[in-house]
Amino acid sequence: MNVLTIANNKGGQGKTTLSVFISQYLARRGKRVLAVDLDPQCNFSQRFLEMEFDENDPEIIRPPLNPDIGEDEAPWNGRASSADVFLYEAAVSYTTPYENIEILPGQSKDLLRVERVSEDEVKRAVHEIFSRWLHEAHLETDYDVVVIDTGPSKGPLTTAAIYAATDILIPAEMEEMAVEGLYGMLAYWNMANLQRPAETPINLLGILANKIQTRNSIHQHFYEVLCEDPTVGQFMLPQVMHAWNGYREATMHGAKSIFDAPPSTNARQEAEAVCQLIEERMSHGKAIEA
Amino acid sequence: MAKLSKREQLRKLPASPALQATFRVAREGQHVQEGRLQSIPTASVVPDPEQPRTRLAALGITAETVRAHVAGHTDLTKGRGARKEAMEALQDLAKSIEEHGLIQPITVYPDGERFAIGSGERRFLAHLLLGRAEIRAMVRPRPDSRKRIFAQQLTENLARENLTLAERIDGLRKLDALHREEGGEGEAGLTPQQIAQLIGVSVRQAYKYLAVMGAAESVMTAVQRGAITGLSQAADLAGIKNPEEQEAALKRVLSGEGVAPPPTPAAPPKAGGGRGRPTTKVTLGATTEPAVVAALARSYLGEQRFESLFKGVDWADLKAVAKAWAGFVKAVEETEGRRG
Repeated sequence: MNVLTIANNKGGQGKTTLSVFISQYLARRGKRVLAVDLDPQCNFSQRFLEMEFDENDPEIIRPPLNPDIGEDEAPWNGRASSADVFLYEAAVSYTTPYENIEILPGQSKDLLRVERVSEDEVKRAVHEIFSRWLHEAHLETDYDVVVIDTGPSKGPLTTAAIYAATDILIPAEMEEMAVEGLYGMLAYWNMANLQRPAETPINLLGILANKIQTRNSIHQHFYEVLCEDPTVGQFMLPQVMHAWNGYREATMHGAKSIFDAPPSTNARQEAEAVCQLIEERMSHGKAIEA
Repeated sequence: MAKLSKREQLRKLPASPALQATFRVAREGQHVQEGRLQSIPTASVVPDPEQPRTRLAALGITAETVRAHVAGHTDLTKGRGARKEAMEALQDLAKSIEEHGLIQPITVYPDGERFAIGSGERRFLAHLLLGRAEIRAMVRPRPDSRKRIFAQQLTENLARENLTLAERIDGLRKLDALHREEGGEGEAGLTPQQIAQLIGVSVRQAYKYLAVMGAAESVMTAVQRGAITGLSQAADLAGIKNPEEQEAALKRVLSGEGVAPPPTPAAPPKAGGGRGRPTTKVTLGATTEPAVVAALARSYLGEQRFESLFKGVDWADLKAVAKAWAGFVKAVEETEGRRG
């Protein structure tokens, strides 16, 4: 089983959009996908589920009632979220309208509770919980790939997602401030590798140049400079993603999948090429074997 | 002056600290994947006797003398220029480590109860200056042979940034020799791609290094003496094939002028022949006339062999003619190659 974490501590780099596309692509390829939302903003969850908003408390975005859970069943009270893994080391997934995709949605208030832990001891525990749960829950019997979307922070949730990953994908805009984020993510990758057994290093699947505008010389410049570095260059995916409007359409509420767009559209072709490359570059899930 | 395009202008900007940090961290990440990182006592670190970089030891700056310096038994900053300079650089490094921590851990090999330094002699000595009891180190398994350790040390030292051109060329030449030795017969030595990877430069730069590595003795001596410190200049010189012209260019460079001679009506071809790939073949020109192909081939092969080799060729189809020509060149190569 592969655990693919999509991360970049800068916001607006296209993590959620990519998470959606990759989940849909792999599901169509017959892979059983568990989508996990670790971003307290819960945008990933909203692409697959009708999330509930609380008008009185902007901090609450929660998943709908889960038909698989009784409403009085503790500790769930009818709903389940990715935060349960951190709070109870257990979780229940939701089915989605998409074949082969199940989701462990976010729950903003609970995730923020986890994100705000400050004591080092607790932080360290949080970092390891997710990875431990992935191993111990024997998810590999039900899923081929776990796709984890993370929030724009360097907090404990992102660290936990990186620590649990077999593969990491870093989408990044080709601009100065995004490149600053890139540095942070590579440092995290190093740190996580130092804590893991040497036999199972995390595969840095690649850095995806995202939101490229054709004819924007700054975007081209950063892409070239990064590609030319002998080390970073190896990680730069040869296929970039542009800022096509088709991507925005495909992530609107209730919109059809990008892969249902007409085959001739730029957006669909590019999304397919990117996802195909990602599938090819995924490690063979050595860390967690069935 | 020609106006630069926007992209060319951007190219001229120095890499931002974020970009530099990104490159550095990525490199460290690769090291992390290759070994284990831990803190080891500085007291257990010993210098490797075969460490290729011996400049500090030659100046009398060793673990022993630095410890004595810290204890106040001796003052290494006193005295002659080179040692004083090296000590000051070491103190600067120590200051930077004190402020920012050790960014790149040193590499060590277990050596009984101790650890031999693979790379990071200066960082280690800086720790001694700071009176640190521990140092962050990447502990690598000891390679099987001395040769491999040497190759690894060279490789790691080459990746550092503060080497002179002479040190770099010297290291690359040694590594290239090891490479050929290990590869046995038919091993062509380091490729530009490998060099680019080893010392963290672009492939274009790597070609220049290769050119300098193969430079004539006189150019090499000038590099080793430190009379030539620029890579491009050395590569340009190395690229001049004619020994007399090369000698003249070298003289110009040593007297402070450029590589190229002052323009004269009979100026030799532009310097810089050392750039790019070395020429390994001759292209036999091009023609749109199939009759030229037929005439050349017929005159070499004679009528009988011509008929058999070019049998069935559609002379109106340039693609077919090109293919037949390639077959002909191959046949000539075989014949002439045997003779040669």
